Amino acid sequence: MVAVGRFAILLALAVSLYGVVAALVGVRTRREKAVRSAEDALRAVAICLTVASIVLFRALLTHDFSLEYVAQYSSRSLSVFYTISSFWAGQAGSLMLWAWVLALYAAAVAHQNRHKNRDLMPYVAATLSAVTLLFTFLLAFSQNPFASLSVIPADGQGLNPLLQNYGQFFHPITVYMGYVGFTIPFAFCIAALATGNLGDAWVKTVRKWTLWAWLFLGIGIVFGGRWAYVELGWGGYWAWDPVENASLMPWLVGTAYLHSVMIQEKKGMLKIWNVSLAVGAFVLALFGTFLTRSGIVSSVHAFAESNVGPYLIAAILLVVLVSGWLIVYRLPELRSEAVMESAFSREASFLLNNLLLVAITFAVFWGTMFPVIAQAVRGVEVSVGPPFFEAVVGPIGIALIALVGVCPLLAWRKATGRNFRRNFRTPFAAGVVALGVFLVIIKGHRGLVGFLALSAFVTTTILVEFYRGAKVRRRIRGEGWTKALGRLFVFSPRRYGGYLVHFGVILLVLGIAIHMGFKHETRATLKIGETARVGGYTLRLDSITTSETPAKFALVAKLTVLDAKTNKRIGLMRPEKAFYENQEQPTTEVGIRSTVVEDLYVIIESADPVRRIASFAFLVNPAVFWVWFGGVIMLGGGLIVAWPMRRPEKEVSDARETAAASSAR
Amino acid sequence: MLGRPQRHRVRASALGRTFALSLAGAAVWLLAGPVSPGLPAPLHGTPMAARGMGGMTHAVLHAPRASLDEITSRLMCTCGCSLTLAACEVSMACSIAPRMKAEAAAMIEDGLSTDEIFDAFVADYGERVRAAPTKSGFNLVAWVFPFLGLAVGVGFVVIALVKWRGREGDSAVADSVSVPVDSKYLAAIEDEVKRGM
Repeated sequence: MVAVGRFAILLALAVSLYGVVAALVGVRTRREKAVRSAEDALRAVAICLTVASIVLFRALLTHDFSLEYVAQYSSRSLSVFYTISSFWAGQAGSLMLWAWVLALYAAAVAHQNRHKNRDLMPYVAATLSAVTLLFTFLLAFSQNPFASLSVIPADGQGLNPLLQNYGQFFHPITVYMGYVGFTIPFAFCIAALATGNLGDAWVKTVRKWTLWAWLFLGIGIVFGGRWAYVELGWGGYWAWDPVENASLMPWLVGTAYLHSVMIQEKKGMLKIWNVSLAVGAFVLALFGTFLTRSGIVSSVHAFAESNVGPYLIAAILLVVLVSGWLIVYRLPELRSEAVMESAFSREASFLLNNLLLVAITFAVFWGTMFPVIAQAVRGVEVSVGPPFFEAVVGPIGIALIALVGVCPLLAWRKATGRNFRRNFRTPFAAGVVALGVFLVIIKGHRGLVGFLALSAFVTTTILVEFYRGAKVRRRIRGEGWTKALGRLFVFSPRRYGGYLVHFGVILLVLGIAIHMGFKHETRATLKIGETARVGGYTLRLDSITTSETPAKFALVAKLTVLDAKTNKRIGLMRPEKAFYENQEQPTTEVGIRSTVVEDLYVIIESADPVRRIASFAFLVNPAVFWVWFGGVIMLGGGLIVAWPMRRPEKEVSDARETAAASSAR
Repeated sequence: MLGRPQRHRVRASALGRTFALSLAGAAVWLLAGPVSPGLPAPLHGTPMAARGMGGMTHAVLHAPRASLDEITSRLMCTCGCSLTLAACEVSMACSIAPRMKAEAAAMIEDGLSTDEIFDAFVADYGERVRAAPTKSGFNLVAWVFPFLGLAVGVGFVVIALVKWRGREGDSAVADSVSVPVDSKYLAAIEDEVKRGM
């Protein structure tokens, strides 16, 4: 079976190469047959890599330790759930996942466009085949998951305990579905540039692909944050780690693209900008892959250093050069078809929003790479951590959030001062009220108070938009408030789903800001029966027990959580310290008691069941719930926008008019 | 084209304001919830003996928290985690972070200023121990470039807007979406939709 896997990868490599050649021959000779053959090659590569993946899954599940990869990342005692997820736990397997997802996407594109975009498809097929060629090459010659061991071990080394979390199942898959998804807009963008068909066709074709890529990457980032929060050892939900930054950058550029492409669709403007963003998102996805695997920067999330770095950096340079040349070549045709009539308009605010998103991306990129630059220039190792990113990204991010509030208040084409003032009044009043209230409630933390007021302003803007939309629907269709609000998502998903995304972002950032401002910790060593006061809680150590499974030995502390005021029992927590087979360092499973107000987070530092004593770090993390809730709202909004819906033509025009009417008021 | 009755508009507008303000109030209440209980509370941990940090335990517990928090959030742990001391201590099973934190606490107890403490750590561990580059020499580039990039971007946008304004008269492309909508137009939409229903 292993030979089948190896052969499937080599065949995928050969067929990818054939796909590139066939597509280019099709372009040169204008032979449709050659182009169709290149598209068949995309399907064939998908089949090959599916076969290879099945073989690897089978090897993992049957504990075939003759394979180095299986021996390195799984063991007999590992559960089936984690054995499956060990597919992408290492360098080779994760590259395989990249290639497999890409091949499946490429086959879907070939199927989706079998009767349309025929002028673009030769270049789309060539580009997609070229990217699969890169990854199958890496699998075949650099990181082969089917490499064998000369001596077969009786058992594998097992999966790193930090990876034994449900996050390991969902986070990599969703991140890769996002990363890889940006290949499709890139391929169509290259096709549009190469053919000179720079109209709306490619933009409309890739809109959903970009949305889904953005959505999956967003889900992956939120899943990753949650995983890093509940599992000790990853640095918390966001640590501005290079690998975390690498996932954020294409997501930010994707966000910019999704906004600016609306201007192209509506007014035929910003074409140069949009092709640059489509290329940029793909380049940054490749760059993220490079950063995670090259060992160029140190990160808790990175794979072991390997030799794939030079190949990936060469690919990135090639993509930048070819795309850059094509953009310059097509500059005259990329000229805007319309003009921006006023700097005081919604179009202009979209432009500013794009600028800020790209500025944040650049700041993140620059901060991530600065240690490498400083090392090269000065020969000195420097660190760029949270204080830098918070100081640089923070102000730009606040400007961006303010713009989220201002944007809906501006009319398309040209806003008048009177119209703006009228729209501005209610959200501004809400902001002022919030400022007053929070100034009274919160002493100090002036920055946070200002941000809370800004959030109230932006939230009110969004809520007023929903109110206006529902009001118009009520008047026009006679619907009740609930139905009218619900129908806004059905008949104007792009607009109101988008507002929901904005609302989610506000909740998420608010959660982070409040958590950063008010988190506090207490450390204590307790004997059985002793208590520690932590914020509004009293924690009593009830017992220290041991538990043993084939995979691990664990020390488990049982703590009763009492309300500090009433002394009433409100919960039970069981943090543990686990010692896994084949692992030198123990791992710590935290105890978390989560409420909408705050999380009580307990880390067991050391425990001695004989002396009946244990040391703990107790953390009170306020508002963390809102980070996850905001993430869910944001992604739910994205899902509403991305979900394919067919609506009667009349309803579409009605929705458009409803939206136009509500926005203009 | 019919305008809506004045009375109706006033009522709708007042309703809108009331609705929005109620929601804002609700948001204030919602947001105020997590803040109040989360306000920094005094630490009430049971006094401990066995933290495994020897004589430093006392210093850690009683050092002025604001300074210690500031220092631990601006120093990197040297265990290889690429995290600040503050983050490493609460998110990794690390033995180095508590030791470094104890060193910082001892320096605070000795009356060293923040800068002196950073200098002492840099002397011991090198420049990489700072969680952000200094704002001097070549490191200044790290701080300036993002904002320089933003300024250049703003320049491009301004130039583009000026150019577009210059071309405004030439534009022959009709705008398919942005139609000036006023109350009269809205009334017309309503009539049209009602007729179609």
